[in-house]
Amino acid sequence: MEQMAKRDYLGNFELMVMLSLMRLDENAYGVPISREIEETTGREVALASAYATLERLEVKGLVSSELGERTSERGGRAKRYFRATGKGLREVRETQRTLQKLWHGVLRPKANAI
Amino acid sequence: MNDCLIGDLMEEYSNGRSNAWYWKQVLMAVAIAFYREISAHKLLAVRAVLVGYVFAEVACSMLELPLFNLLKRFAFGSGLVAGTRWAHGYIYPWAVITCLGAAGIGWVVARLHRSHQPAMVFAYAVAQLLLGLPELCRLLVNALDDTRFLFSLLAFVVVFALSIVGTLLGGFWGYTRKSAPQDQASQFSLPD
Repeated sequence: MEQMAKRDYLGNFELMVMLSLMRLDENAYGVPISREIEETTGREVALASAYATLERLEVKGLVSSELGERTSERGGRAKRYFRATGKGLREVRETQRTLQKLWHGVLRPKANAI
Repeated sequence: MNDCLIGDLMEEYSNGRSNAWYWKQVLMAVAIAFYREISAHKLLAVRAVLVGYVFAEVACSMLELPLFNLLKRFAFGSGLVAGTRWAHGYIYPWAVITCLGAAGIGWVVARLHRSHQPAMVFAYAVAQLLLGLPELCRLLVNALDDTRFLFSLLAFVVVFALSIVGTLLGGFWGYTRKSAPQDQASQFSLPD
């Protein structure tokens, strides 16, 4: 029997964060990432949980970050911009493929179920 | 990372988010930070809870009764609880002892877990809260069943709340900063 590769799948919120920062491209820092998720899901997002997720993704090597400019409206604190790494992009594609495989067949209801 | 999160909160607040939103986010940030620290140091958290529990048991067995009698004499001697029946008046010395005792235990827990003081004191306070819940439920059921037990419930709630506040204050008192140049509390103050 073929040995199955051991891998960690992205969690629901992790996937949302990854997709949001991919959509935002150059402007992906805490505020727009959480806004993007809020607007898409309609649920309030705790900025701290977005940061906790981003930190975890960074440890896994799926995102990288760099400090940006300091602004007065932020009390002189810098923004931290995030970007998906090559490994992160591959992970998102893999998750998408896996989910599509799982959805295949679910979307076609059986005639006697209606 | 913390600094960027505070910056994001300030940016959102200056963009028109409400005070309620701001403080909710701050509280969630504090809770998430504690949760992450405790789950990263589970054994240390268990030790903090055990240390607090053992000290509480030792303090109760050695000091509670003599202190209670001393305060009882003081409370009645000074006329502080004059006019109340002792059945109700006992809550005053009891509350003082509990608050001071809890503060002392919070201080000990903080001092014995210097590497992660706030999180370990928080872990002990949460354990204290969870351990007190069965008694709270029992008293609540009694009070709902018969209003005579309402005072017992109120007394327990007051003393229970004081013991948790005492633990946190004691932990804060025993808090020694490592090399923090910025005050954590002032970091979360509302922007002008």
